[in-house]
Amino acid sequence: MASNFLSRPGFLLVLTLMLAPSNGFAAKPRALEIGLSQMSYQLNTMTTSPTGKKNTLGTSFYHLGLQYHQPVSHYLWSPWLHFMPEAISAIKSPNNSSKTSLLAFGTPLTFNMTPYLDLGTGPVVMRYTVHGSGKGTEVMNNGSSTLEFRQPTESRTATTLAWQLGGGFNYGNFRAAGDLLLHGILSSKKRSVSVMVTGTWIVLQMGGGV
Amino acid sequence: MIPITRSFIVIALCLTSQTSAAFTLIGLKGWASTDIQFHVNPQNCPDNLGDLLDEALDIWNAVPTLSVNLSSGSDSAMTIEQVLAGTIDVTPSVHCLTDPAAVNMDPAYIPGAAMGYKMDDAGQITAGALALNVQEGSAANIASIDRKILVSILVHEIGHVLGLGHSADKNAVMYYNAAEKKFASLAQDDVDGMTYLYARNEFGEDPVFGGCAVIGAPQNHPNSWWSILILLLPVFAVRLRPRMVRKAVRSSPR
Repeated sequence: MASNFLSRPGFLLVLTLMLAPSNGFAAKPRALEIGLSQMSYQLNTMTTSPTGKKNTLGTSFYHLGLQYHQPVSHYLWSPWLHFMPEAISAIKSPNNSSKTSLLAFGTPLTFNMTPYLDLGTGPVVMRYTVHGSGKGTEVMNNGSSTLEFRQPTESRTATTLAWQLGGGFNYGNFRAAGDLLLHGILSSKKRSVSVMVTGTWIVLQMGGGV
Repeated sequence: MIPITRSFIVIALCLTSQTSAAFTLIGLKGWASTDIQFHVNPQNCPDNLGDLLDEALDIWNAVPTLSVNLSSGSDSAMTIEQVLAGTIDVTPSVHCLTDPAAVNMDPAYIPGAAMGYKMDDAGQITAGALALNVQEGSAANIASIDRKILVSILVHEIGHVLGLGHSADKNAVMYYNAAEKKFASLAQDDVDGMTYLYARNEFGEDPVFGGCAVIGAPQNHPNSWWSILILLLPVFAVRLRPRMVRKAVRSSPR
């Protein structure tokens, strides 16, 4: 029940809206923000059902995040880092033979449309790590008999690039953002889309306190 | 800040409940080459096997974190007996068997199986084959199986040929039993397993943004500089604008 509720994309958004302070408006240049994000990874591509039916929302990853807004001309360069502390939110197997974590680093260019709304786009590096911690072999069912297979023992990381398109809603020291991440955009076969919902708070305002 | 800190702790504790079943492996590594062609021996095979195989291969090709590039190769006349005897012309190969019991496949239950593995001293797979059951009258004859389920079975067996073992995750295509499958698609556990064997690196040897990896030849030079330039593109886009335009922008009211 709890995990179903947590898997809803709007959960963090609602939570962060409830916690948001209400003093002042607008995204702040030179502001350092921390927050939480939920990524619906690869929409309508993978299954979460024994029938193999594709899940519209993909699979969920939860991140802690940092973002900074650096003024560049009349835009903001807004690099962000989202990471999953392995001990906290990495997706792990019941027998602890592997964990999966996803680290993402984006460098979008952000433009404040209004005091409340901003739009941003830019490249994103994604590091998808499978942490193997198996201790040997495992006997698995093979229908009418069993077979012995190996468990993963190392950590291996895939590094890929994606492109981010999205917008943010700013309210006081709080910013809620929704972004599309486009994977494999130059490929004829690897294209897919993820959605990232982020809630952040300003914790440090360069040149002025929060 | 205190309520925020508390909310972080509460959410972090909730997140620890996420679990997924683990994949397993045939060996510790996959194939040495990431450009792998499957060669079909058409004898006894249904006419649409090539289409089904391409569909199954593309399900693995679509995973963004994979470096491996799978495709159908030229037809082969090699038999499964030759593969098992080790006299191999091309590999991996695909065979349709009218007597699957001869290679220890139970025709009543097993529609397909991976076999004929060879590994080098480094543990990398150097040979493998995919055998399909076409025995007339048998319950697991692939001709009697729904197309979507058959593609799912091919995806499963290709996973074995590439080095994945079975998974305890019922959602995974690598789960041993396809009885509940109605669609051919991958679960997170399948992606994890294949990423473990063939992790893509777009800052290294693999083309950026998926590139033409699935339709072109492998590149021999690293992409690191291209990747870094793409990351800095937003900054360059602004900094390289003409000075006059920037002045005009600065002087305009915000």
